Amino acid sequence: MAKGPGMTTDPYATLGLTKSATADEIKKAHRKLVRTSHPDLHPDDKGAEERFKAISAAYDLLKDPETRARFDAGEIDAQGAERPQRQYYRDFAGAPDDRYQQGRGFGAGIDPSDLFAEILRNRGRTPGRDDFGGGGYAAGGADARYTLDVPFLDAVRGAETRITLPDGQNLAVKIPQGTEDGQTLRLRGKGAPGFGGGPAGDALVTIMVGDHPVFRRVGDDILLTLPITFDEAILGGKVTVPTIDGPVGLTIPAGASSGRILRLRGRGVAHAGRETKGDQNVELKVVVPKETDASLRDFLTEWRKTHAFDPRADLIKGAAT
Amino acid sequence: MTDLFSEDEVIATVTRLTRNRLVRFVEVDLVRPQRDDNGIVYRRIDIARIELLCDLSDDLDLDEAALGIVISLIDQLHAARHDLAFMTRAIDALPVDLRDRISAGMKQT
Repeated sequence: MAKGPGMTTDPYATLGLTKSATADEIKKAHRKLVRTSHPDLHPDDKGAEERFKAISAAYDLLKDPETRARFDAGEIDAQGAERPQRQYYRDFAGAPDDRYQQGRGFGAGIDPSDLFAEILRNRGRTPGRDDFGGGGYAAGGADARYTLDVPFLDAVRGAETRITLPDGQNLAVKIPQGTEDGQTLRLRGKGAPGFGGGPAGDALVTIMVGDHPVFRRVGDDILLTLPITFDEAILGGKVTVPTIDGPVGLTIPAGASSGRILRLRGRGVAHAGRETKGDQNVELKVVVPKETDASLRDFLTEWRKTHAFDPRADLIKGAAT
Repeated sequence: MTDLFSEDEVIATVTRLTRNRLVRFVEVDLVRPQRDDNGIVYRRIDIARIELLCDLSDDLDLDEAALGIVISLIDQLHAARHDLAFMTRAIDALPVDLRDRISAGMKQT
């Protein structure tokens, strides 16, 4: 499990103490941190749960003089005190059958004819779709969701584009190199504005990558079908192949059949900040000319008489078993 | 996953909880379990609430009176947050010009 920023392996440091702390100091430090980090006392603080877990684990270890002594002696490590998963009360806030709920509507002090109070009192607390529990966005603005069609090569190479929002405003979107179809980009603070000084929500932009007439993407590899002539297939040769970063030379080995795949290493999709790149796989496809001249036909007619080559021999045998 | 728990299961789940304490919580109306054909049953929200009550009394040394005040304030906070979220969603669903007028109005007050 990844450790959060608040989790150190030193339980003393987690509680802001040193090894010389007395039992009373440990208790006091813990109490103070519970007050500032308990998720149920800070329902809007998304980091509270992680901090509280670390604090609880540290306190579990140090509150008992015996386990504390064993930790100090190096007999046990801080990991031993991991607590089981628990659900916080705030996760249930506003559930449809929450019978602890108080102060329905805006309660006293507000004119009963007030439109909002009326609406709130009569609405029956929206069962089902309450995304509020997870420490949601009471003061922060809502997230806004968009989808964005991105051309294949822009997604693969990375690009910058703009989306026009329903209110006519523009939003700059940076498509990172190697973006995949269906991936969602989070633009911090580009959602709905917050209320009462709260932070704005995020814009969540789901990327729909378009098809490309030539390239196909499989993971980080690019697949391309390359038509070659039958003389190139038999004799081999050097041809030019398009890649997502421009044309490169490719040597076709002699005797290459249709369906054979040649690998262009490192010519596939790259990701910003990652060293490994995908490959481009080139599938050969032998294409014969529509019109065949007489000399070639004559030659092949003669060639056929003297050369027994049956590529279907195994196929016929295999089909019989 | 079961959604209803017996008293024994609750005491086993919340390690700091004793039977006496649980009975007391119910007695003073800090926890409101449900009545079932099989007797008293607790829901997940009750367990989370009991965990919180144990945190407040053990870690923050709250006595019963303080516990009642704090949990009541937390419940009111949840209700207010819930109302706010509801209004936020309602406002979000309005046409842009109306939303703009509302946010302009909020800035004035």
